[in-house]
Amino acid sequence: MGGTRLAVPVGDAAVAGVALGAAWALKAFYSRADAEDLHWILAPTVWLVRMSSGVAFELESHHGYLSRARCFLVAPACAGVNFMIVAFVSLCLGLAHTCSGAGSRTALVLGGAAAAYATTVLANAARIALALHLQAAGTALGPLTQAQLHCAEGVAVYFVFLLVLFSAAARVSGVRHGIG
Amino acid sequence: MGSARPRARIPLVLVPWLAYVGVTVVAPAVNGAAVGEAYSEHAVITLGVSGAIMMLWLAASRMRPGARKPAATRRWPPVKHERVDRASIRLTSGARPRS
Repeated sequence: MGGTRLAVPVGDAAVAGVALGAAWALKAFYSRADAEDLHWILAPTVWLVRMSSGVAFELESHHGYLSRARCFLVAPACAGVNFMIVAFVSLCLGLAHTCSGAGSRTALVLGGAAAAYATTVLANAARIALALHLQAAGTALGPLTQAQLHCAEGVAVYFVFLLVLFSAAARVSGVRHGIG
Repeated sequence: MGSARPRARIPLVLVPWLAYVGVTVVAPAVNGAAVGEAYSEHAVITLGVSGAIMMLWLAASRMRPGARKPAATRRWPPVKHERVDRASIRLTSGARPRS
């Protein structure tokens, strides 16, 4: 009778399944990983922080990268893997409808993974460099304590990077509406 | 990733926000983190900051000169703006037209 049908094409469902499965596997790996396991994402992040802020870090076995001069530890929990999962899932779920064949869907998944990794390293380095500045300044904002400000700063940096990544990817894939 | 099929009915920018909230707020709650005091503080900050940024993002995109209406609400073919004869305007409120 002309009702609305919410049919999801098989290809889009396959992309969603791959994305959610990869996200679940990465989340399970991350929950048990130590600093050595996360070297592939912590090392380039810390290198970028050192380049941008001049603060030196050294690897403390199993604990992360420590700046003794600033008493600042980049621990496994600060690796940004959750952000990488969010970025990858957003790209795959948000842009799957722009794909018209198996090739473009494969490109979306692989390109999404690469873009999510690169954006995570950049965003996390920016977040840590800004956190170092805030720590040095001893800044507190209104009712927020320094720890709460650190949390808010992290959310703001990550989310802006996420929106920029998603908008750029949407433009590349030809979506012209609803992305801002 | 060729031409987009016209299926999107909600702003796509909600997708990254929902994914972000899902991974950073909902997933820890499902795993039992919601009982801790730090969780509520983290959730409030996450929802507040990300929600505020998203509102600003949407507002900025609507204020941009080249911004287009979402496809779902756009009319096709586009309606040309026509001159309206002043005498043809009917007031429904019962007020008299100003002379």
